Amino acid sequence: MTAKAHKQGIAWWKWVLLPLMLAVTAQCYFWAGSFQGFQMPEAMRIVFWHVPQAILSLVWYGVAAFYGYRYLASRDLFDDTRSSVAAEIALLVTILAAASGAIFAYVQWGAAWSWDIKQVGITLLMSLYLAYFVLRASISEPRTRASLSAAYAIFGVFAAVFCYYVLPRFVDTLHPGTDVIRSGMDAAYRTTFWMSVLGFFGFTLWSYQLKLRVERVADALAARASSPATADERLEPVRRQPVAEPVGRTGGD
Amino acid sequence: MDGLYYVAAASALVIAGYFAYIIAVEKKVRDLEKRL
Repeated sequence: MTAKAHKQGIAWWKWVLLPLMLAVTAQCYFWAGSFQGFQMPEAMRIVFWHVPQAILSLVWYGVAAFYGYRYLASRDLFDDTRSSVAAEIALLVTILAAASGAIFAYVQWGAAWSWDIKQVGITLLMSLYLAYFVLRASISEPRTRASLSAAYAIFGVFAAVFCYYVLPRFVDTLHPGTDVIRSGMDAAYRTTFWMSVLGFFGFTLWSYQLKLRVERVADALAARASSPATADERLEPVRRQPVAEPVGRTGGD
Repeated sequence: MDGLYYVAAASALVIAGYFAYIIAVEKKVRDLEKRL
């Protein structure tokens, strides 16, 4: 968000999120019906809160990889900042997906955590991106940190696709297949689901913009700290130089 | 009917997660902007 927009208050699209998410909540309870074929059919509505997080985590891992690639192409350090902020949002969303999924698992399978292959995959993914932030914190040289992080982020998006989509195809999973869910979703489910994805995308974009603003202000503070901050400090070396007597001037004005 | 309580718990958890993050980052940006 620009400083001008900040002064004007919250952007219009952020206000739209409130009625949108209220509509998702209302539709979740009053329009979308129970989903037959599951242990507790009415609890299937958790898909409106859990699955969008999984989808959006992949989107933000993709954004992190995109800006990582852009950094390698342009060597603009702010692309590295964008990439790391996107990875942070992706990690936040992954944690929310795992936590809401644990509630879903408790209802449907009787245990919050049963080391199902998708649960193992999401744990791997969270560990991978926690390691990414440890790596970033351990390198002080900005260019080296940016190059390694960019390569890691590009590798990371393939790891995310592998954990979410490839791994469950090789090992039996308790999760229902996407074809099972799609065939059971009527218009009410589909509408509510995609409205929820849109609403949560808005929340992630809001978080991303805010965190970028933090990084911009932190950069400005660091730049100010590394250069003489006040006019007095900038003038100090000039004051130390001997002052030559002006030629042709003998006294005051 | 019990299933709906779990739906409410999952939705509250996710929304609270986003708001906790947004409020924490908003607070941090305001603190930094005061120092600028």
